[in-house]
Amino acid sequence: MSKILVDNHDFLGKLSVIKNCLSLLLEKESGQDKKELLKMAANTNQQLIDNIKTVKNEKDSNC
Amino acid sequence: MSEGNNNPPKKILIVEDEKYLRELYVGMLEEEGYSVDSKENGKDGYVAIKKGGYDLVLLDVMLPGIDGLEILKRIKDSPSEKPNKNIVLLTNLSMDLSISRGIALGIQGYLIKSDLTPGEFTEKVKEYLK
Repeated sequence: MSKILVDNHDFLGKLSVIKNCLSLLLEKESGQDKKELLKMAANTNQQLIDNIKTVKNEKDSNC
Repeated sequence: MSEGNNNPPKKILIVEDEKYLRELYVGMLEEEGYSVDSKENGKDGYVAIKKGGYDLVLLDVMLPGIDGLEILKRIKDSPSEKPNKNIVLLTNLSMDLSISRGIALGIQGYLIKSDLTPGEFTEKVKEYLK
């Protein structure tokens, strides 16, 4: 499996933007089906944020 | 608007290079009745902070040009013309070394952007302005 090098600050920054967009959409959405889809996207996005933070923290603590 | 009394609106400066976040934060805080200035890079941010007079400065760590910590160092060496009441760092990492460095340079707090929804961000800002 090939790996892609990304800048973790920049990547987290972009995920934070997505988090904010999804949060605003969720607040405004009244349809239950669409709300569930948005929640799924928000949860998955949050998992990515948490994963990156965990990896970054482990790296920092090993330095 | 929560600032709808006779007092002048509290002044906030946002220094954030991510366009969407910057515009989102400005819009949300203006809706709350605050007077909000924004800068998109370290150089302009430094000039505004140096001029001073803000109730709250929200300062991103990673900025093009001069980064947030370098701005804090410069302000520590040569204080703002008018004092800024609170300077709060914006970062995406809760265990970021920038936070401890920022505290040593005199920040009043930090906000983890990746942990906060827009509503939570606004509530945290209000707490700093109490």
